[in-house]
Amino acid sequence: MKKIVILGNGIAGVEAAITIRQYSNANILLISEEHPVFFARTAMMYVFMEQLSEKEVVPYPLAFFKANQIQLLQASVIRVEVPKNILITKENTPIPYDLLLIATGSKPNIPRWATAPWNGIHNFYHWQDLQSLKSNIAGSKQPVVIGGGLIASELVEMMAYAQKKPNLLIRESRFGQHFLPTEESFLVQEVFRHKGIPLFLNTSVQNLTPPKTGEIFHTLSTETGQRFSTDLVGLGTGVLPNIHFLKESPLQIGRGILVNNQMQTNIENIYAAGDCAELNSCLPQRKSIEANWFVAKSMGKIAGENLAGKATTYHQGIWHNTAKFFNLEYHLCGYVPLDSTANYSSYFYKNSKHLHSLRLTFNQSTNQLSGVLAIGLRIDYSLIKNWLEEGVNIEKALKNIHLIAYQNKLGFFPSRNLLKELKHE
Amino acid sequence: MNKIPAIWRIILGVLLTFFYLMIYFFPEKLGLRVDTSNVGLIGFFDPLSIWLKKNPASQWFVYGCLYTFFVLVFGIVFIIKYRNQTYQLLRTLSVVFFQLSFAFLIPEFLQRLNYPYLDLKNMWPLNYYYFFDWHLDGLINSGNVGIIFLSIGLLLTFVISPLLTYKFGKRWYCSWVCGCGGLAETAGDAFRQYSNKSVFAWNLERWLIYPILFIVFLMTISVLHSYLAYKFAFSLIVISFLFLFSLWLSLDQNRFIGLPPIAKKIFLSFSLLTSLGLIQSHFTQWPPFLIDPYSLRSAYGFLVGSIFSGVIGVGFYPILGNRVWCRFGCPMAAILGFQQKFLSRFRIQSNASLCISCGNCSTYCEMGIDVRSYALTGKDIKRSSCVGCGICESICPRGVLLLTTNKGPNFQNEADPFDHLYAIK
Repeated sequence: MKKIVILGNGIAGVEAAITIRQYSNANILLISEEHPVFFARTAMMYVFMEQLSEKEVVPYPLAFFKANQIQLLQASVIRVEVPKNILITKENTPIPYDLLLIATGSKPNIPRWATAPWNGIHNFYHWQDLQSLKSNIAGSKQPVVIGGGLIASELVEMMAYAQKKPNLLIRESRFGQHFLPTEESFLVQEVFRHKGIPLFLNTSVQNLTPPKTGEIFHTLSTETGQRFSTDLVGLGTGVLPNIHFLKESPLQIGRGILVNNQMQTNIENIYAAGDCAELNSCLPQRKSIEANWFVAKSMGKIAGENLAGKATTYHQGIWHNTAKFFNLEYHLCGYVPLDSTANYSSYFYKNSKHLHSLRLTFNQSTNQLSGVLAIGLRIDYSLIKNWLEEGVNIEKALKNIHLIAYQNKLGFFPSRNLLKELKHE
Repeated sequence: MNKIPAIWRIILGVLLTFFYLMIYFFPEKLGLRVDTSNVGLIGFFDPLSIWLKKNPASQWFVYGCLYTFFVLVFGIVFIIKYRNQTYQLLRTLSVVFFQLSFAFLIPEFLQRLNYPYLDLKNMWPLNYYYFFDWHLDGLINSGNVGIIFLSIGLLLTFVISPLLTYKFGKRWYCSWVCGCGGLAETAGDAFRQYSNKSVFAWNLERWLIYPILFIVFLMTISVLHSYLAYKFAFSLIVISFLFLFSLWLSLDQNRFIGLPPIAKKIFLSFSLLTSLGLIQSHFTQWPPFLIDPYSLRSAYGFLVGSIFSGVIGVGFYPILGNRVWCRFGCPMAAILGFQQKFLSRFRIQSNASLCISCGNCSTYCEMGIDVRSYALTGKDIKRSSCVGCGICESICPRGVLLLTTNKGPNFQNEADPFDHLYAIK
């Protein structure tokens, strides 16, 4: 029987394991350094905020893996010996494989100044980060959060839950510059303002100075000479593929592990999926590494099918993403440019009082709908995906705007008046 | 925020249980007096009782006041907590209204006007004594008003309730109207996360709720049979109903695909035995099921009416979650659940491509449904126990879930195997 080893038990690894088991009775071994069993990384914030317990963020109980004969192992793999088909762990134990899937995900991107030996710097990515943040936040008097994305927003929300008001330092000129158009950025910033979180834009931290004797606060200094005293730093400065242990392997590496559309690397029996995989060809307006839960899930599925001997190819398809900033939901389906470009134009509606907005973007030359972005409103992804696949034009989309609400009939959706209020920008 | 330490929950559970035992079995300890005026807690409610209905308070009046008070106060708390959700707002206003008027004020006024004390919305079989001789006599003997009430009750049980359940799912009753649901959704809201999500609990649910429905059915038949002086026409009606229902179960394969084969067998045997029991009583003049109907109903009243729905049903809120009675005991929920699963289009739609498997939906499901296990694979949640409170939809951070009765593309009646949590198929 073939032995399939999966490195990493995140969503990509687990989805692959489940998919393999659907089609084959191969030996499956799922290895993780971080946590003995798959957990929802995305729910770590809720564990911090005591909304969920540690047990509740584990979607499949141990009995599930046992019943489906998926072996679990907690170990740290430090090297892949490609010609011998073995993995080497930190304890120098060899683990042989016939087929290998690398799904090691991401690791936090740490700016140079933050590599200083100080235990007050907290990432929020790994399970261990949750524990250390939990034990340190109570004693903090002046926390600072750095970053302009989802993890930074979650750090702020958690600290607010712990009765702190961190300063939020953002390098860019607005929150979410990498994934939000300007108007939507302002809406999210409005939420931070409501919660009393001081926002510092265009603030790029360059240096960290330890406290002088007798003082307790470290000092962060910025490019422009601004200074922030702090005793706890939350870092939300993005992620990088977690592939350092592959440095000396013959695997082709770009920024991530290069894979073809079957999730296969340049070595025939090694596959990669999820955040650590880099597609060797991708669609225009898309990225070759899309570090995102939904992408990792579908890549894991494709990798699983290929590992089980059922050749399938991965298509990037239509982009979609969701997030939540405090109580403000973000829903994106399709392509919405972040700055005004010549080719695209949009109909936009915004209600600053209720904090929600809706944007329908279309291609000006073809008049076809290219994407929908909603803030504070829920939209029907399957309908919009159908529209985008069919290539409906913007007039038809506007006429049927009332259909895109993904909300209980009694839920609030400003559909009746929306058409009037949608303005062409 | 939402997690209460186990020790406090146990203490609260013991206190509540103790209070219920007092109310049901030792009202004199709470100050109820027969010949002199009431003292203690019950005496405290005398002025209100005399003002409302010109009679001193009984333990049931005190219980009704406290019950309504808690529904009202925690209803307001609930509305504040979910203030942005129109569905939750309307639903809570509705349960508070029905508790205050139909369950509390109207029956008290009826009594003041010398009509029988009657909670109109309390249908058979939740109101297990609806067809008891004393209850029917009470209604019939109070003239036209009584006859009208009797007709409303019959209409509700046999016509209006199935129609509404067909249209909206059982939520129209369980989480919008019902008094038990009213307390569970308001005062019980803080305990919803303690409902057990295991497959064992799901099994237990089925093995308790349907037998209780059978018992309530037998009891009612047997009491009515003697009330109607063993008329053969009555037996004929019951037997034809059971026969037609059995026929439907066996012939409409497509609709009942989700019904476990054992359930069908049990129902067919139950129908056969009930029919035989009724027929034999015409020849032998013995009670239809060989048990004296009056001892059957006093046993049911004690075990189910008092102990299960009262003492355990509310006393165990902090330990087993706020829907203990609704989930494991209520025969009304069994009937409505059956209609919901096999007749209604009501279900919770899920969009697997958005699910981050955080587990908020499963954790906060008061009926112990593992919503996430469906959402992970994009299956519609069509469970007979779902009371449609909509909390899973509200709490989902990514807009995955939607309560709906639409005839969507995903709509299907499919088997819902017990082991879907464990088996990969």
